[in-house]
Amino acid sequence: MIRRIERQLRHLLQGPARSTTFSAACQRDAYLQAQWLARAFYIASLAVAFRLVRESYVAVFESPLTEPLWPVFWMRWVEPLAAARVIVLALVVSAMACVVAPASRLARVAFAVLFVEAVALRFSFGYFYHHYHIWLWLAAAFAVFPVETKWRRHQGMRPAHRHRSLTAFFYLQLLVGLFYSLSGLWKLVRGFVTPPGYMSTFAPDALPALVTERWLLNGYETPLQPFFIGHFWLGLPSQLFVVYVELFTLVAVFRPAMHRPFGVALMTFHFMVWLLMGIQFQFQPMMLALVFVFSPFASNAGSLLRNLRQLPLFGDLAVLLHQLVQRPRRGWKGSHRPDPAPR
Amino acid sequence: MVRNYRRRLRVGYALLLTYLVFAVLSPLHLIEAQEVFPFFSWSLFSSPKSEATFYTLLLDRDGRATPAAPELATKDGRVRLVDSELNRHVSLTKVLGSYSREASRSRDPARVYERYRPKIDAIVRDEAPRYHLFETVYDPIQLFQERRYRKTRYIGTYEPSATPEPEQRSNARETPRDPSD
Repeated sequence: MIRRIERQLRHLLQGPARSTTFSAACQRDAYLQAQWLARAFYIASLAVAFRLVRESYVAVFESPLTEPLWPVFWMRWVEPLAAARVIVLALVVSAMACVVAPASRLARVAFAVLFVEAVALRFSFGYFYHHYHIWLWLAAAFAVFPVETKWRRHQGMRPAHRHRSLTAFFYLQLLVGLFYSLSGLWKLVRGFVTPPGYMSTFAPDALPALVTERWLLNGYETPLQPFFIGHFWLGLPSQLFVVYVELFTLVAVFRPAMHRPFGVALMTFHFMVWLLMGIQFQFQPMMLALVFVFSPFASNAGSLLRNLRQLPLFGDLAVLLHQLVQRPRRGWKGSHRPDPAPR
Repeated sequence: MVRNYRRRLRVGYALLLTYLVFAVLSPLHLIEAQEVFPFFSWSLFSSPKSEATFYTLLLDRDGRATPAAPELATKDGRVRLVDSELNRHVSLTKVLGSYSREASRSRDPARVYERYRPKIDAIVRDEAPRYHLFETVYDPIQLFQERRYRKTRYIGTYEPSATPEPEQRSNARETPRDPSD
């Protein structure tokens, strides 16, 4: 029963144009790519960790810990600045250890734990923002990722090795896909459920209102703000594009041909947010490159038209429509087939 | 091997489902807290405002008797909504933002402020003996096009206590902020 539901759900997410072949040779290539990406994640993590330690330390330096989050509850009993010094130094050391010895589970777990500590420290002042959250969860996921020392030598010849790595990478993609899809889902919900004082996500003024509000808060103009505010009609198509891409990222994870297009679309979205609203996403494009653009499952095989059939919603509808058109034609031929000649 | 693979798949799905449950607790008002760290609902810019409320905090260093409404429109016609003096305090700006979100939904912003006051007082007490709090209501597009806000209301004047508690003492105040923050 559970297996049947699982299969139905997977078929629904993969869509009617699903590809079923993933040969052993393809799996070996994907395995090597996944192993390489795990190492690349820790190289990128160095930059993220350096930024985080600076922010966390300055935050503690600047104001008292008004609302310590649960991972740093122990800081109530110690001097906050001394504790902050220990956390930031340990985080930098663990980040460097992960670059030098990525196969060391100890280093990776230490990095994940210290990353949680540093982020908790950064936001123990009664407010949150979430630019480190994806990296935090990826650090936790990569801590249990099977990074292997002899990956170049055995090249993923044993299926057990390949499957473990690829399943783990698939979950990383699902995790990131879930975050983006949740973001799209709330926008969709707010399109239909609008509290007083707010407007629908799909109102023509919705995006211009967001852009204008940021402009007022920032106090400076971002590169595309004057153009965008002068052309309000751009708001609705842009908003529809954002909701579509975010909402269907989770579905795109199940469709390998969509990994790169969705990775690039989300990168473009982050870049446009900076151009329009002045909000800088420093690590998200890097994360999207690692998880989707360089995805081990992404394939260049097949024509553009064939790959477009995997486009969530629109591709599905096109394939279903095509199947619907084809089916009666086959039926007509069958019903009018002449009877076999009598012997 | 296939059984192991299936087990791993199910464990993964269960973990993702657990994340989902924690993530939606706050938006569905099942818990009071804004979020359960490190879970987050990812509701970002999902509710554009047709009428926004902003709370401005004006420092009163010289002990003015009557608090004056904040000058939002500057000489060059631009509009600012954050007191530039306090901008370097990221924490203060953010706490004020959290207060703003809650107070704009409440009928009595002064009462809501009492809950946020200790956090704000802890930061402001080193800056000035008194401060005034104002509420400004505006339509973002109207403010941009016509350079005017709908109304400004005085909420109250507050005096943070002079002697900070030992565990709440600020470590330093003159840390310059990175312009890219």
